[in-house]
Amino acid sequence: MKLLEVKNLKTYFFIHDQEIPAVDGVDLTINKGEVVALIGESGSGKSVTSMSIMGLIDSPGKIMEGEILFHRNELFTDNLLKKSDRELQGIRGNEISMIYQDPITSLHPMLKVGDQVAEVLQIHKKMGKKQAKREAVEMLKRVGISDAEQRADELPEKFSGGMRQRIMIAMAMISNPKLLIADEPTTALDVTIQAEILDLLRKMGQEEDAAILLITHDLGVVAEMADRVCVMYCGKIMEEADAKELFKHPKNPYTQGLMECIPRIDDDRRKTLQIIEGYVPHPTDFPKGCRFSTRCPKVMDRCREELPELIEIEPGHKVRCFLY
Amino acid sequence: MKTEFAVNLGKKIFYQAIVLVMILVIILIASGIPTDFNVYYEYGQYHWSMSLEEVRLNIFQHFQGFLSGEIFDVVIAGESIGTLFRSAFVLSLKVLFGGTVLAFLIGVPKGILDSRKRGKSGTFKLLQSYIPLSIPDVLTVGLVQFGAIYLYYNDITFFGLGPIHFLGDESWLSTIYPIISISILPAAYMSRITASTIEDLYTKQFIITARGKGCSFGQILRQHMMKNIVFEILSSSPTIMAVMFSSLIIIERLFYYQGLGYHLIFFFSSYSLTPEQASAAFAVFIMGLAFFYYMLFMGFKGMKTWILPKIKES
Amino acid sequence: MEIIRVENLHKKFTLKSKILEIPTGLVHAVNGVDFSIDKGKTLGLVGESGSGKSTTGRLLLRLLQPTEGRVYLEGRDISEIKNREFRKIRKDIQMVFQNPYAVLDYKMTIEDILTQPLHIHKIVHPLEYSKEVERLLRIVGLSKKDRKKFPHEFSGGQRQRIGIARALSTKPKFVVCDEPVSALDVSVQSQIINLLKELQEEFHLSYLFIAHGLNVIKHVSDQVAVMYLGKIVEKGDVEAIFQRPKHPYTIALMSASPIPDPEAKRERTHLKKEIPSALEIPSGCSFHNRCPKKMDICERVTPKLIGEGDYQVACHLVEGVASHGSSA
Repeated sequence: MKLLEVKNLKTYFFIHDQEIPAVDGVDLTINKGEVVALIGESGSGKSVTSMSIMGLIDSPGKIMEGEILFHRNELFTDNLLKKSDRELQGIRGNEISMIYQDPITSLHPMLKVGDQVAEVLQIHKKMGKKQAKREAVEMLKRVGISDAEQRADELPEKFSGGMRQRIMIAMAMISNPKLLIADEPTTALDVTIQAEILDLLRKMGQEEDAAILLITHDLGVVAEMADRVCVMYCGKIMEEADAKELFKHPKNPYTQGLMECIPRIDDDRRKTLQIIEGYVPHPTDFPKGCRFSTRCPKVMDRCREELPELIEIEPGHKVRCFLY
Repeated sequence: MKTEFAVNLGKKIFYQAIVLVMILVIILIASGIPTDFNVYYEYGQYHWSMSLEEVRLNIFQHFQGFLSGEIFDVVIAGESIGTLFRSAFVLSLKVLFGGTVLAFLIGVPKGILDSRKRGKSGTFKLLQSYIPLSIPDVLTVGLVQFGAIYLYYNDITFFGLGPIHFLGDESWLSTIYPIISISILPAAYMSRITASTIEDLYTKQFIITARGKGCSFGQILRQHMMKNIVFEILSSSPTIMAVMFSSLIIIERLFYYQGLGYHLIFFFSSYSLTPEQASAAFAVFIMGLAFFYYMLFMGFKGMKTWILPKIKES
Repeated sequence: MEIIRVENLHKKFTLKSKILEIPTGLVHAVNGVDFSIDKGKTLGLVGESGSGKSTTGRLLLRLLQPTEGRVYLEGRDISEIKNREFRKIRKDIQMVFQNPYAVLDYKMTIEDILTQPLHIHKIVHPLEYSKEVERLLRIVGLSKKDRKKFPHEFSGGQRQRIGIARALSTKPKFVVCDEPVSALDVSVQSQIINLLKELQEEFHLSYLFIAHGLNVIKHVSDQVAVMYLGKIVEKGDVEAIFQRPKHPYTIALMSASPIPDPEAKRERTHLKKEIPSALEIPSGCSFHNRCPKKMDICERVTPKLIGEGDYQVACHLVEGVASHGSSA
């Protein structure tokens, strides 16, 4: 059952008289309870997509067109782009929550962590301070903060990065959201902690029956968590498929290149690694035609002139490439 | 650890005390120079109106008077300098305190309002803050006085208060105009600090987290930004204080409000006192002012270093 | 032939309170580190935050002063050399930094950036500067047309190439690479890794490669040393470590590294708790409070790095096995 449908989303940034197409016609579907990974490098537009869904795009950014259909239940569907900021405030943190990359800067340095988590309930469930605090402590226990009763009265600086991320997850999940957007939740964490946070996310998602939109650049994280994967490059989706299918049969040359060039721990040591030639183009400098044409090993003349469409070559597997 | 703490603390207090004493001594020397001491240039040579020996003697007597406390008993127009100082001090304090409070009450809400109208009319709101900061105090006070005169001539009442006549010092009403005048500059300053703090914080990640939680702007302001705003204003309190003290003298003079600043100018320029009375009174007042300013300044500085970090944890 | 040898390296940082500068705590960032690197080889130093790996790199370059310990460059003891003298050695030891955005002076052209070390260390005659800059740009894969450009005109990967060119400008013998690819786009990382390896072969460089990602370390290193809270816990040949890791921390680290294959088997070793703060390092074996195989002795006695030949482990478990083996 569909939960969120993003249709032809275009979010542009206007900086120094230049138009930067950060998100350029993105279609995305998230089903109930599903884990969808949005993978891409810098400039791919993956974070901007998530901020657009949450309605947190400020100037100089602007959502130019598109629809974001949120099917909150069988009867009601809302286009989030048509809602006022007030209405979106009711949805943010409530039905759609978000956790961010850097747990150090994401929590308010001068407020107690228990209060920060309880605030969600005070805003959305109109709970009194005491009760909200009690539930916040329960939630902190659930995410694995030991001695939650006492620690809820401490400031974020007393916690390590991993613990802070757990607090963020508590804050996001306490309202039973239908969708959790996780923007690079483990990038700033140590490897051993990363694994635990991912486990926690998966567990929470299952327990609360929440869908997760996982934004990352790490294929390993994707392989562990995702049911379906969307690969973004320079503002466009290049490929979309089930996780297993994508890793076994990547079709887009960019996806193929990514998978081959990453050094893997389970590989034999090789003398030279595979590479993708060239660099990610600057948003002001996108090539005409297919955005990957400047680096693609299988580039054809057509790719440099025309932009390929995203087509479904097999059920559940979409590719944007003239090879198909 | 404890002894090191005590030693370090002792050192710091000692240095501060030395600085204070040095400042006071310099002021004392400067104010000890007799008012009719002149240097003039005549026939290609420099002449002093009195010998340096006399000046030195004067300064020395000055010191003696101070250290023994006799200077406070010098009588001017029926009152001793000591009592004069006390009453002037209280009056100035009223204006300074009232001015700070009013500045806060005007400045912070204005700053909040300024930050809401993001993007458009950016230059205009900047001007609103910078104009009071850049025109001379005398002009500001002059404008307030024009406003007062206008209200007076047109018999306009504000909140049940009739037009304010000059009532001397008997009524608290005479503090109103000085308080208004002294608060304008700090208010502009505080509003700029508030607005820029809000703008600065708005892009910070934890504010984005708060917005992502569904907080409205009002909630973000109250719960997430207020502490930072107060913190910033308190941090810049030394500057604001310096501005207010310098304005105080001008404002008291122009409103004939008999606080410390007024008397300073009076003693310096009046002809109705003997040189000894004048220099004694001036010395007492300026030393008092200097001491007061220094204590206040140190108080703010100490607050910044010790208490503000605690606020962080409240 | 050894090019670098480090013995019992220590670095302690004293934390002071802000107001009165009273010492409030001690961070023992590097706690008795020994290793040696042979000419032309790479030692991969891997660890998480707080392990002390970056500090170790900086100590080798004298960017920080060691509290204790000896450093030998080509057999010569350079630990006691005064900073003045050390400047002459600086051209032999260089560093490639993590953040390509921060390390290049944005006001200088590439030509200026690359000429500066040539000038300071008098590598070539001033008339040769221009040619040398061209040569450096060429070996890192940039064109000589780029010399007049400023850093902001380049992408992250290109800037890292410039950083590498700068490190190589003094014709060093030994280069410390401090997380050189962590800040780069994924599709560009492999280019830089390949470049570093090519340059190593061409110029017989020796590397200390610092990273937190085991996957990168595996492909770059000849030897690997795993650090935890300031100590090396396991050290040895790269194949040996990756095929049969012995220390519980190394095993946990490997199991936690994500594998880009949804069907791969994952046996996750769950570590209790978090990495302790560097101010409160646990007694005995600093890993004992998180170790799934903890024994009583681990709390009391700090295990020493022991082993045969190049392969060494600091763990009571391994010790026990070794001693059993020898008594059999």
